[in-house]
Amino acid sequence: MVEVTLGSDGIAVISVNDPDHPLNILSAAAIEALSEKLDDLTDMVGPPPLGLIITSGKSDNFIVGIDIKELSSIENEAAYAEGSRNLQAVFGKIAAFPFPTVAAINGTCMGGGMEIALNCTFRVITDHPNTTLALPEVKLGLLPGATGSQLLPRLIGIQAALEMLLTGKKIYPARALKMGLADEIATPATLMEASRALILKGQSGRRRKGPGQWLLDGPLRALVFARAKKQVMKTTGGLHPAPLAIVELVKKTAGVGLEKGLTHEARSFGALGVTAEHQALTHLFFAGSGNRAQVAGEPAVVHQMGIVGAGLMGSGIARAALESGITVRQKDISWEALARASQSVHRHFSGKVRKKIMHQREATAHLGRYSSTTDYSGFAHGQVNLEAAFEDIEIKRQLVAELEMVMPDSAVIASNTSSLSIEAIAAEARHPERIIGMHFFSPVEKMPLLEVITSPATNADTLATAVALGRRMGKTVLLVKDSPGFYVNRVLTPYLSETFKLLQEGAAIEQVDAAARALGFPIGPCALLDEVGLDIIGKVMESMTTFLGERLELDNVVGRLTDDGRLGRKNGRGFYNYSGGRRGAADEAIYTLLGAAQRKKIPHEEALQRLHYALLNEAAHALEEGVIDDPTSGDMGAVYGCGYPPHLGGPFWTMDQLGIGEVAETLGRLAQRHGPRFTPAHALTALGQSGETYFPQKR
Amino acid sequence: MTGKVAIVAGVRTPFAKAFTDLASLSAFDLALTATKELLQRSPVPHSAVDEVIFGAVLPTMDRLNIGREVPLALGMDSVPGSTVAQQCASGIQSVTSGADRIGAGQAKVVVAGGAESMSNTPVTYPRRLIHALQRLGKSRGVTRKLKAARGISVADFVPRTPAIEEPSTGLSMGQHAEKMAQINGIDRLSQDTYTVDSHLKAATARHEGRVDGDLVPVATPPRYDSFFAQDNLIRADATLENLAALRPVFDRRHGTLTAGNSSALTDGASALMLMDEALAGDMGIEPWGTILAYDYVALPPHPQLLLGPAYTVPRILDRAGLALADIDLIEIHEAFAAQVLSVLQKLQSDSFAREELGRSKAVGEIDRDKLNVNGGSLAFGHPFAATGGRIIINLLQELRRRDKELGLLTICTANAMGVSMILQRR
Repeated sequence: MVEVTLGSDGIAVISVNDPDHPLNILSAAAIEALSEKLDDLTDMVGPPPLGLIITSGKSDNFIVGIDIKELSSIENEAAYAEGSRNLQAVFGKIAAFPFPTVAAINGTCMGGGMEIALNCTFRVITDHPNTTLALPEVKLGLLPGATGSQLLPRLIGIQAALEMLLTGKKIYPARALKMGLADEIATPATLMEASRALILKGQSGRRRKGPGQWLLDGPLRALVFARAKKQVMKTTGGLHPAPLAIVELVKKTAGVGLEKGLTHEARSFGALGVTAEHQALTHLFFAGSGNRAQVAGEPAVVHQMGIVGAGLMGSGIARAALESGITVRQKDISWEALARASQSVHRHFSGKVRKKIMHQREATAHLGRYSSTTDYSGFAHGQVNLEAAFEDIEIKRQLVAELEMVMPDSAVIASNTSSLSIEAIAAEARHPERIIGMHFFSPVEKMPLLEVITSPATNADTLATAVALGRRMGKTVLLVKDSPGFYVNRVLTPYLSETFKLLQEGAAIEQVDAAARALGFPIGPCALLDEVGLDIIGKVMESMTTFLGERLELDNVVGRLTDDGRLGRKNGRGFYNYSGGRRGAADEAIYTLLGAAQRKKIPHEEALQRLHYALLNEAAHALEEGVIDDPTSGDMGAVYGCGYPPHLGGPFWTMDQLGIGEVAETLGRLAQRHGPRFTPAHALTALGQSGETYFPQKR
Repeated sequence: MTGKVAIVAGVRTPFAKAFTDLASLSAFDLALTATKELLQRSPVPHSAVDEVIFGAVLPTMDRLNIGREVPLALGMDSVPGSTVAQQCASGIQSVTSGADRIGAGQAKVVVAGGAESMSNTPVTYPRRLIHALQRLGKSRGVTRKLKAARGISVADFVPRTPAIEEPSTGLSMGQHAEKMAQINGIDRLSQDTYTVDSHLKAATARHEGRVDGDLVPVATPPRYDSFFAQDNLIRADATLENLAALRPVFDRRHGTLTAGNSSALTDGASALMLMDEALAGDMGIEPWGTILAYDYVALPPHPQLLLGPAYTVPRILDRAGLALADIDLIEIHEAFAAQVLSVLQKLQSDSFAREELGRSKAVGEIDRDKLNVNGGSLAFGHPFAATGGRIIINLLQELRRRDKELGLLTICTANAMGVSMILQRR
């Protein structure tokens, strides 16, 4: 797992290679092994080596971090802090060597791997497309607890370090070199030579700070911290402890000695380890990585995808498919729509080139696979052809019939419907077995979720193809039952319906949105409705009304807004007014349209609770009815599809934390006060009585 | 050639006057656009393509071999590609090279195309400057550098566009066509009349939907927010009066050739899918047509440089065992109205037949109702290597519409050559 060799040139090389896993993950055993090898180097008889290179035996990753499973089994705060101290000690051995050390990085380098690299004198990275550097601990509600929070600001300055620590984002090679995170860029083939050369040159590795950085790290650093904190408050509303703790820790340890800094780091790490936020985010991490379950059936290899419809969704799916290496044939009845799609596709890739995330030649290759048409030419070549047309059952059936005319019988027809039943769409098809729902979310390249919906006729190969295609496009796949709203819109509907009810009772648009944001939603429900499009939501609500209208006391008022010519952001008019792509003030005219001209203050707590519990209760209903297979899927779907606050772990995780009995009781009270729509799902009452939970409890 | 090669699909970009709608796309970009669409419209999958051959008169300087750059850009890494150049026959040469590969059993499916961007012609600098700059780069020290730079003059930095002059005669294409008009007695009025006719036929063809079906609309940079979807040189409003107003350009004092009755500098690309006819049959693909014969000739460049068609037409008819009357449709590339009219004159001349072809009788008079029925390069424009593909597509589609069988095409070229091809639809 960890090999050490001493070359004839006097340079020692430590190579990390986990034989049982494609990625190098730092398990306790791996860290133990590394620690021993480092000790061996110290205790070596004879002259010490001239230098040490730490590298990976993998072809596309260096070290991707410590083992999160092991991490999540730690019991308490003191144990977290102790774990941090141990890792600091092991990695610190690298920094303590009297000879120069180089981290030779080819491929992904994250978390603990990055912290090992930070303890080296130099970092040489490659131009491999997988080479990125990151400290993503914040995404798990933690901070780098193995020297990272201390060494990073010392290496690249406080401002750049805070950016990396607070966003957890990947740094690509060109930027890494520019910001001083890396000392040199080599190719995979010259990586070791370049690393050796750095050692033999005998430089110190310490870089001189420019006057700008000297100012920002010294006299002006209070300003840097103030700005970082302001940014954190803006993006998280102060709901997440980790970013705040990171700012505090870096601030507290700026200018103090490393030893003292490391003590603080371990303490902060321990405190974050036991936060509900970390537990919830870890739960989601496993929900995502556990989503690799195999489906039966043989997936077709998708070389080409035809997409009918060049609107918002059609072009979004095109961009995501192109980026995963698939040839895309986009069809629409209008060249104007195709032109807008073409522009969005070109803009997407040129933006990536401009930000240096993508090389021009990759962008050229992606664009080379994109073409537009107003007829079905080329659709015979697609292994999957997807329709993203207007939500109308007759149109969809017509499209299926047209596609069946031009496609070989073996190819898959996917529908991106958000409100229609797949069974209904496939009802008149010659081959209903190859028809499946693939419900993407907008904006497609950013939204990580894909709902895959089978009808009773869909065969296993079709399902396998859709699931494999979705995963290839980088999506977390949620298998859902063919029922109105599927899962994501199903749980959103009562939440949005409650929004309308609050507005009709007199709440202000801004107030309702603020309540949802206070809960941790990235945007409020009114803003969300505008983003998704009121016409789209109207269709979803319509399909839900016939199905769940009575239980949810649904009163589909969206029609009043669309009749008024309000479609949301896309036509600049919705709950808010839009100008130049920016959201302006809420439009008072909405209240009149909804028949509630009088404004009345509704207590913030009440608004927040009604919105939240409407969603929680519907999630329980959906699970009970088998729309999703398990609570883990439900949490994933809500977080990745509805924007449910990740730090709460998902609706089922939240209900466990709140206590299911308490949730059922609260719902009962809400039902008495506001209507039977809040009547708790049977499962909640039952679980509340038996004292069971959705997930096995840790403590 | 064995007559076993079928053409199963064809597309082209709309043709654009140079420095207009397609100006920001290189010949490579145009070739890629056409090929990408061809593969979509083709009845055979991408994976069946064995080879790509593109014709290009002017090179794309950053992608010299566009025949291979195109499959590379399309992710077809294992498809070899080449680029061929034979002046204005380049677009036909890519087709005959592909056909030969198939005929020889070296390939089953070949993409053959042609692309030209007259808006992006390569520019060069004098050799003296380039060599001096190279010395400058190599020398160390101020004195040595100064010494190396000696002899460079400011004028050397003025870029040169490629020569439009025929090296063997010192005359440009236009000057040669002007000479042909003078020698053959083709007056201004007959040239202008022919030109108006070409534009009106093209305009009618487009109006009646006989052109657009084979065009691939091109999303154009920098914003890619609109599609260039129609040829932009066709003048539905062309009249003799308009043309009469134009001044001669090649011989300003006594000439008869104007910008109107000469083909324009044009950007565009075309691409065809060739395949083994037997394989097409096995796959149940109905070809657009097959290649029955082709012929290349060369002639003395001075003075009638562009008379190649008058030499190659009789040869190809003989080779195919056909008479002029057997041919249902004829396409003669219109570099200049004067050149087409000269060719027609020679084909019906007994003395030309005797003196130049060694035949006792003239080849014959070409029935104008069969000639360039949808207009020609005077109306569509002439992106050199892309013209061959345009003519083949048009000829095969028109044979299908008229339910006819045999089509003949011929193109004159710089360097004093001519090419012809007979296509058969069944």
